[in-house]
Amino acid sequence: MSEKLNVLIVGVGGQGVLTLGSLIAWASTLSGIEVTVAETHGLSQRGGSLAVHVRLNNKDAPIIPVGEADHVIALEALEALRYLSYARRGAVLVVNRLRLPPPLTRPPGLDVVEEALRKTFGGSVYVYDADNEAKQVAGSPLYSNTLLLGISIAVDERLRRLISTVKVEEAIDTLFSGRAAEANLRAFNQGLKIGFSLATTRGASKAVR
Amino acid sequence: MVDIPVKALLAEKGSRVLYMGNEAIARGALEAGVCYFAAYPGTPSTEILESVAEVAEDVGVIAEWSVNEKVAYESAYAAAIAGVRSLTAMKHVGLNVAADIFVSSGYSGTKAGFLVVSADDPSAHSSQNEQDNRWYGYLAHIPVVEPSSVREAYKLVKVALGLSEKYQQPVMFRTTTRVSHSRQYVELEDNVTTTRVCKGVFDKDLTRWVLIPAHARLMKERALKVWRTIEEADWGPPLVEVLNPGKRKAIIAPGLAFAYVSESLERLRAWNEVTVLKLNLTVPVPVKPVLDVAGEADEILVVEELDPVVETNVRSVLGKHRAQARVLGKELIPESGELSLDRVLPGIAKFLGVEYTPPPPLRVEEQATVPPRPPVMCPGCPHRMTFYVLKIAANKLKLRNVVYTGDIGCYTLGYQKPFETQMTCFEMGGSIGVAHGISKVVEEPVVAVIGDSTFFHAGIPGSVNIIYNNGRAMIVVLDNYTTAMTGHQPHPGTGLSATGSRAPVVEITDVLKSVGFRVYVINPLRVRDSVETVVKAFQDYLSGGKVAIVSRMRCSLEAYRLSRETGIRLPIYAIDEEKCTGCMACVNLVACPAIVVPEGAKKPLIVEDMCLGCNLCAHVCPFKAIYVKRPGSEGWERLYSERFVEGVG
Repeated sequence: MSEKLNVLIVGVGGQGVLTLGSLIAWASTLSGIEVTVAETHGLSQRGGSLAVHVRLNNKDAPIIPVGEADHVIALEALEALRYLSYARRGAVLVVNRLRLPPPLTRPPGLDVVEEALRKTFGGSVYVYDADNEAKQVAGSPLYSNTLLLGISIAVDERLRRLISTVKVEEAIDTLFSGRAAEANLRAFNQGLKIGFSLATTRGASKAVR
Repeated sequence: MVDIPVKALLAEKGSRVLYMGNEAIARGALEAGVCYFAAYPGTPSTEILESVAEVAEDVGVIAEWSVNEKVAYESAYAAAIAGVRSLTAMKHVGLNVAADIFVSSGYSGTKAGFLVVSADDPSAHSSQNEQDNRWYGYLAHIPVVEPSSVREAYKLVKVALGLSEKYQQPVMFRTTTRVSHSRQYVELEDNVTTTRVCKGVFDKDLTRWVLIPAHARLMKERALKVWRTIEEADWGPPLVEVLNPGKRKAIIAPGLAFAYVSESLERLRAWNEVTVLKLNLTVPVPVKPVLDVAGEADEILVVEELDPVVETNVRSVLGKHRAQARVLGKELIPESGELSLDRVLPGIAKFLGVEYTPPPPLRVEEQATVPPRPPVMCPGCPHRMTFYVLKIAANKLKLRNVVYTGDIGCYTLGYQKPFETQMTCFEMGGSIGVAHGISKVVEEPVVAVIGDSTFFHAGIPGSVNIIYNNGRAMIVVLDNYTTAMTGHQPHPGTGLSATGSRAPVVEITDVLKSVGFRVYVINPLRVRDSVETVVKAFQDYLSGGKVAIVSRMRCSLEAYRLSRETGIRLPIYAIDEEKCTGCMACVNLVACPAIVVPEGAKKPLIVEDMCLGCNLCAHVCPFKAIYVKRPGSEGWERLYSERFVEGVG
C-alpha cells in the first residue's frame, strides 16, 4: 500500500475542484494512506483557472513537481491542456467534455484539445461529457466532479488500489448530507459504471491491435 | 463551508481527522485552552477563525470577526495581557494594518499565551504582494515559529503558545498558503479542553502597559532580554532538529522549505551526505545549533522561501562567532515566488555537486493557444452591474476620463475590460485616500470604488478626510451584504456575528451621512432606475456636492445559495436566435461567464446552468433578443435586494 501516486485536479473556479480534492483526501484518510492536498483559495476561485495537487503516499511536500502527475482529472477541457506539463508521460487523463472559454477569448475547440491530448497520451485519455451525464443521473452538472472521480477510479487501477470505492462512498457520507450525499453517490456510481465500460472497450481495442 | 464535516474540529482524542492547515491551527489552539479568537478575513488565513466560529458556542470560546486586523490584534492581545490565552489571525498584509500595536506588544509583552498567526502568500496567489513577514519578528522582537506541514502546524501551535507564556512574549506563528491551504490527516493528541481560563484579571501595571517614552525604554530592555534568552537557549525538537550531524555540507531548512529539501535529498539519494538543520523556530535564528552545524560543515546552504531572512541571520551569527563555514542561499534558491521541488532540487544538486538534469516537460503545440483564465466576476455579480451603471451614467453626462480608484475585493476584477473601473489597487481602504490625492491634482472627475467590508475596515478615516480637507472625490460603496472574496464572512453591516447570531446593523449610509456626504442609494438589479440616480449623483458632484453612492445588491453566489435553501427560483435568460443579429453587444459589454460563443458559431448563447438571472444582458441587447426563459419564483428579487430574507438565517 505504499505506492506513491500524484493526482492533479484542474478546472475552473466554481466547478467543485476544491470539493473533489477534499473528497479524495477523505477517502484516502479513511483508507489509511498518507495524503497531502494543496489547494488554491480566495480570488483565484472566482471563475479562474484552478489546480489542486493531491499526493498519495507522499510525505509533506505539497506541490506535484512538473512532469510527475500520474493521473489528471480535468473538470474542463482547456484546463487539461493548460496543465499538461504537470503530467508524466503515460499519465492517465480523465477529462470532462466541456469547454468554457474565458470571456472575450476564442480558444481552441474541443476536438483540437482532444486530439492534442491523444497525441501526447494516446490510449490513456478518457474524455466524457460528465456535465450532461451528471445532470441526468443526479439532477445537476454540479455533480460532474464526483462522476469524473468514478471514471478515474474505474479506469486507473493504481488509483483503485489506493482508494477503494467503498471508502469514496464513506467519504461522500462524511462530507455531504441529505440530498447532496445521495446525488453525489449516484453520480459517483454512474461514473464507475461508465469508467469500467470505457476501460473494457479500451482494453479490447488494444488487444485487437 | 460545505467541505468541512460538521464539528470535525471537536473530534475526540485519538481520532484521525483530515484538516486543512488552518483548521489544524484552530484545533491546536482549542486544545491548548485559547479562549479568545479575533481576526479579519484574508486569504490564506480565513478558515482559522471561520472554523473556530462554527464551534465557539459549543465549547464556550469567544470568536469575533473584527472590523480590521488592527482591532483584531488589539482585542486578542488585550485578553492575553489580562491573563486569557488568545489568538489573532491575519494574512501577511493584514499585519501591516496591525503593525503599530504589533510592535508595541513586542515591548510590553504578554501574560497569558498569545499568538499572532501570519499567513503569508508566496507567489501572491491572492494578494497584492508576497512580503515575507518574518522580518516583522526582528522589528518587534517577537519570535517566529514556522511549521513545515499541516500536521506540524497542529502540534506547534501548542508549543508556540507555551513559548509565549513562558517568555511572556507574543509569538508569531507564520504559515504560508501551502500550509494553511493544504490538507493532511492529523492524529489528535488531546481532547479540546473543558477547563480553559476565560476570565482574566487586568493588573494596573502602568510601567508595562503605558508606553510613554520612559516606560518604552524600560520595555525595550525587557524585550531584548527575552530576545537574547531565546536566541541562546539550547533548543531541541520540535522547534529545532539536527538530522544526520557531522557532515561537511549542511542545509538549513526553515519551515515549509524542509518538505522540499527532504524530497530533494530523497530524489538525489543524498541524505547520507549532508547534515540538515530543520528549523521551526526561525526568528531569532537559534545560535547554538547554527554554530554546532558550522563547526563540522565547510559549506552551508540555506533553503528558504522568499527573502533571505534566516540566511542573513546565519551569516551574522557566524560572523560574530568567527565561524569559517561558507554560507550560500539565494545564489541557488529563488528569492521570489513559491518554492516547489522543481525550483529547489537543481540548487541543492549544485550545492552537493551532484549531476541533475530535470526531465523535459511534456508540451504540445496547442498548449500555447490556451488563453489565460484570470478570475472573473461571476454570473449575476452585482459589481458588474454597478460598473455598467457607472459607465453609462458618466457617458450620458459626456464625462470623459473619469478616474476610478480601486480597492481590495472581488470588485478589483473591474480593472479588466470592458469595465476598467478599477484603475488603482494598493491596499485595504486605499481607494478613498488615493482618490482624494488624485482629485487634488487633476481636473477630471474622481470616483473611489470600495466594498462594504473594506469600507468598514479602512474606508471610514479616508471618508472623513475628504470632508475635512474639502476633497473632490466621490465615493461608491459596493454593499453586497457580505465579505465575498474570502468566502462570505459577515461584517458590521450584515446584522450577523461571526457565530451566526443576530448583531446590530451598522448602516453604511448612516456613517457616510453623519460624516457629511449626500448619499444616493441604488439597487443595480434595477438598471434603468440606477442609471437615473447615478446621473443625478454625478450632477450633484459636478456642482460641488460631497457625494457618495451606496449600491446595494447581494452577492450572486449568496443569492444563489439562498435560492437553493428557500426553493425560490431565480430567473434564467436565453437568447432568441431569430432576433439575435450576432452583434455581440452582450458578450462585449457584459463579459458574463454564462454568455458564450460556441465553436464556429456567429451568435452567442446563455449557458442556462450558469445564468443567475441578473438581467443585465437583456438590458444591454439592442435587439431585445434576450428573454426570460424560466421566470423566477414570486418575490425572487428579494434574494438579491433584501439584507434579511425571511425564514433564512
